[in-house]
Amino acid sequence: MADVAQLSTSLRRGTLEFCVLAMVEHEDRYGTEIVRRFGDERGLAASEGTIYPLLSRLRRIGWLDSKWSESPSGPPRRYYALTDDGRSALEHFRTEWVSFRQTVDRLVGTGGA
Amino acid sequence: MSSDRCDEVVAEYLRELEQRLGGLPVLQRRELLGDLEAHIVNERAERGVTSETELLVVLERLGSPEVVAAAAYEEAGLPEPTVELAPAGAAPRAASGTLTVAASARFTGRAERTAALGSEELFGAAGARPASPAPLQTPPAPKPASAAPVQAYAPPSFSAAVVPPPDDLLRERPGPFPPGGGHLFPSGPGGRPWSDAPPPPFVGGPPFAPPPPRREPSSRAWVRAAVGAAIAFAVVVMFGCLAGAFLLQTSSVDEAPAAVSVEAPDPVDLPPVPPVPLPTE
Repeated sequence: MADVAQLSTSLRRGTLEFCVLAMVEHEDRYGTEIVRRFGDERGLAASEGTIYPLLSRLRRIGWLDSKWSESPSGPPRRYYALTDDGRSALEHFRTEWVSFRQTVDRLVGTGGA
Repeated sequence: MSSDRCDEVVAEYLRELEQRLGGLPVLQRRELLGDLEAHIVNERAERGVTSETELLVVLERLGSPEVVAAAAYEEAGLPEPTVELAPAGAAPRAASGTLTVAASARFTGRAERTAALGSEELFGAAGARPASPAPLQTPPAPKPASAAPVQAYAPPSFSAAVVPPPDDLLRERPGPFPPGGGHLFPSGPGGRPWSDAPPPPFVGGPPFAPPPPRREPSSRAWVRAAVGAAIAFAVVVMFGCLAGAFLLQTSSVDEAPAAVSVEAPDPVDLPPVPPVPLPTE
């Protein structure tokens, strides 16, 4: 089963970050909110805690912006927003992903019949 | 189940994660620890976590410190250092590249770290956890939280201290360049910022071989001899002139030379000389 886990990791790499960008495309979300969403999607993230390093990297490369905001209940929340560069990257990924998915479906035979 | 017990569990989790993140840049490490701590606080507040069991579920969803640290190193593009954490109750494994922290000091840094993260209200009862019999092998902790023996791995200390070369080297170096490549700029790229040792003794020589001693050309002696002879000749001539002048001045010419009457001899009749025939060829 190690190979299956490795497959999930490989498939996750390069795609998970665009799922994060898409989550904040229309609405700013705070960290715990994003992480919970991915925690509910089985097989998408290794664990909730691995999303935070990804958010940090996306912020460092300028695809996400973050700001702290007071919470109605509890500690302050760190909200993430999509930047213009992040929006461009997301659009580029969508185009590439459709082509990539169609090619893989055709070669692997998962295109549905 | 007390809130203090939950605080201890959270602190233990964050502490182990922090130890595993020793190879990350400090700002990324602090950011991740702050994000995770805020996440745990949010989860406890919004999900109404009151028991250790519920808290462990939250932490399990978050992922083990090992998994989270691995993701952090991958996202940062840095190699994950080799870290071995001995489980509680297990004998510590001797492994190079690890650091042993006594169990009594496992949480001594909690109050300091939580204060830095601004979450005193959550971990207000910070204190040292009762000693556990299991020693913990951890990566290097960023703050001196314990006086435990440090056995091995430590990240390179990027000390800005620079030991300049001795003054005698600075003043008397014959070569064109300083020995360390830049004692003129001790903190610059040419310096040796990571070296605490004194600069190595100078072993090079001067940049160019000393010029050979100048040899007098052989013609110089002849020139000297000729000049000396000329001077001696001039001196002799001058003394001669002086002597001549002196003699002329001292000689008396008062008496005119006596006139000598000389009678011409009488002509003698001589037989004529016969002509000598000239040889003809």
